[in-house]
Amino acid sequence: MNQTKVLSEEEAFELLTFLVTSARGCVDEPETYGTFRLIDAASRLLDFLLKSEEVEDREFYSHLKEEIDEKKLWLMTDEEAYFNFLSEVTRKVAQRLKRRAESQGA
Amino acid sequence: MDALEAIKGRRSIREFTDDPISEEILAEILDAARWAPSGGNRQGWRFVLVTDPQVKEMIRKVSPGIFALPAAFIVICMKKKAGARAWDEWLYAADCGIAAQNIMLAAFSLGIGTCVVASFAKEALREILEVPEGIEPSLIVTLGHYESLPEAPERKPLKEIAFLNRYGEEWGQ
Repeated sequence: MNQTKVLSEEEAFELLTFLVTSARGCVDEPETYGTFRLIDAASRLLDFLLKSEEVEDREFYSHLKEEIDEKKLWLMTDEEAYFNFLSEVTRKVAQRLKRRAESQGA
Repeated sequence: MDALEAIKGRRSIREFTDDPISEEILAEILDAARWAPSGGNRQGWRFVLVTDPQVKEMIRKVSPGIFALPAAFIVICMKKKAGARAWDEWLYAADCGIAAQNIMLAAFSLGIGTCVVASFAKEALREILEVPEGIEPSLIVTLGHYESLPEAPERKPLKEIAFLNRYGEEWGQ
């Protein structure tokens, strides 16, 4: 497995700021915003990963980010489609997780 | 552009170009905010225009509801009296909302895209902008040039949301 550090401290700090401010926001905001903040955090993390030369799974990250950015705002217009998209993304990540585990075991 | 055209044409813009907005246009937009009506004409809003790249970047980072860096922010703050009652709180929110709409419509009529944002960390923003106690950051409006307008989200039909004479009584249109 690639053990290279792919996030700079500045990027990690930006993500930290996003997570902390989102956590505070979730106290007052509508409940569904919590799920949105998490998937948006995933998109932001992918953004940083894709800036690194070192990542192994670039194509997967790139497609995943594209899909998240295309569909994350569905929450505001079509909640059901948004929830289905989250399930679909979860499935894709799980498939990748399995593949990564298999390649490590090989 | 007439008022109705601006009202119906405005969209929430979440992707901006890198082009700056001229000072003249920003002044015009702020002046439109100044002309917003307010409860009892108290004009309690205060507007912080932010164009400094470093400050903008900090605001973006503490505002989970902001996705892209705009050319400028207008942070709408409200001067609140100590011991404000529920009625005052309600009016503060209404006054900020009305001012935000003036900003967005004026901006749109001048070719500038906007998005109103409520998802930001108030205390973080207070720290960054050095907002004194008694003044509360209430809304952020992002402003920038845009390449295209998104499609309008579907609107509920009037007969579902507007009634004639009594609540629930359908009107003819």
